[in-house]
Amino acid sequence: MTDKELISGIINRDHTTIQYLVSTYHKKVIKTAYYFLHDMNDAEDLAQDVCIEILESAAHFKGNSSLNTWIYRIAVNKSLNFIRKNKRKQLFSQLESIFRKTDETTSLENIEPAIVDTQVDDAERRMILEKTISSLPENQRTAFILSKYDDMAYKEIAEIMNVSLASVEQLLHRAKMNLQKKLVVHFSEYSIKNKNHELRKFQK
Amino acid sequence: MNCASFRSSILAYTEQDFHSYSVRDFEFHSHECAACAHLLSEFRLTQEIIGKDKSIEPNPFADTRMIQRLENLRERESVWIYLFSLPRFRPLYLSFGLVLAMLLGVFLGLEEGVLPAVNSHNNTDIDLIRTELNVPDMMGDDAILFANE
Repeated sequence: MTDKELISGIINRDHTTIQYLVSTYHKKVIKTAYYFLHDMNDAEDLAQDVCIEILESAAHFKGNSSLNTWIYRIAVNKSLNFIRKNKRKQLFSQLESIFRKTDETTSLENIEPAIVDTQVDDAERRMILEKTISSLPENQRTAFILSKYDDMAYKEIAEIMNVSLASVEQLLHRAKMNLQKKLVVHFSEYSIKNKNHELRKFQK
Repeated sequence: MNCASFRSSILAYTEQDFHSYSVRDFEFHSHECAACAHLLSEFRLTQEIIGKDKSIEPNPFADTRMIQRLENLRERESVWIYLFSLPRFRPLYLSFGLVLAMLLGVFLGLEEGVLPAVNSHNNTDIDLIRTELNVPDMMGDDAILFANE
């Protein structure tokens, strides 16, 4: 089915076209959203919103880019908006907890590593990776996720992000450098923490 | 190769984006330095996580749920479209629209009509007081008379 046929089918609310749209793009969108949000339930909800948006704004699709690019652009924008909203929510809840003066006096820095082994386990490694990717600037994060997780070509990423090919290369290079720097710091800190923990345990 | 340059080129090494002479230096350092070797293994394991995440599969019923939701949306839309497009209901919508427009006109007319009514009431009060006190009306014919004099 060509992009034109697909778009006209969506506008006419054709049952077969809608089924084709969902079976072709829905899971891809869920996966992309998951790479941004790191939560499958949120990713599924977001993918539903993306599909509804496609249905509602298909009439406005100008055809300047491919349908695939347009759908991914909607998914990326929605994911970034979701993260922004979540950050604001987190900030407010943090402020609330400060004003309420809850008993939770523990901060992430004070938490001792649960494992004594100098090797970080998979879950923690994943947490560190997700945290590091989330700390990247939005455009670097988007380029990195689309390239490394979605295996997209630079040209496709450039179309989705509406930037030049050179910009994508630059963004990816910067993202990798930032990621490397941050991961080195994380893993080094983590192994130092673990060693200190071992030492204190030995002294006791 | 020292630890700093090793740490700044871990990703390039793991992604095989390295010259062969640099690879030799890199590997030599990782054999020599335990901390850097540990870091390298952590990087490799972290990259494996990306590989695992790539193969993650969403809920198999996600598509069915999505289709169902879109179908519901389509049905809801089509009910409204059907109702609005029925020829036998068109006069009803038209008359409803006309009644609404008339009501709006009456409402706006009332809004504007309130002020003059209050003003005229005030004017009669003023006229009454003026006649009682024998004060000439400067705004009416008297004003012209006074002007001529």
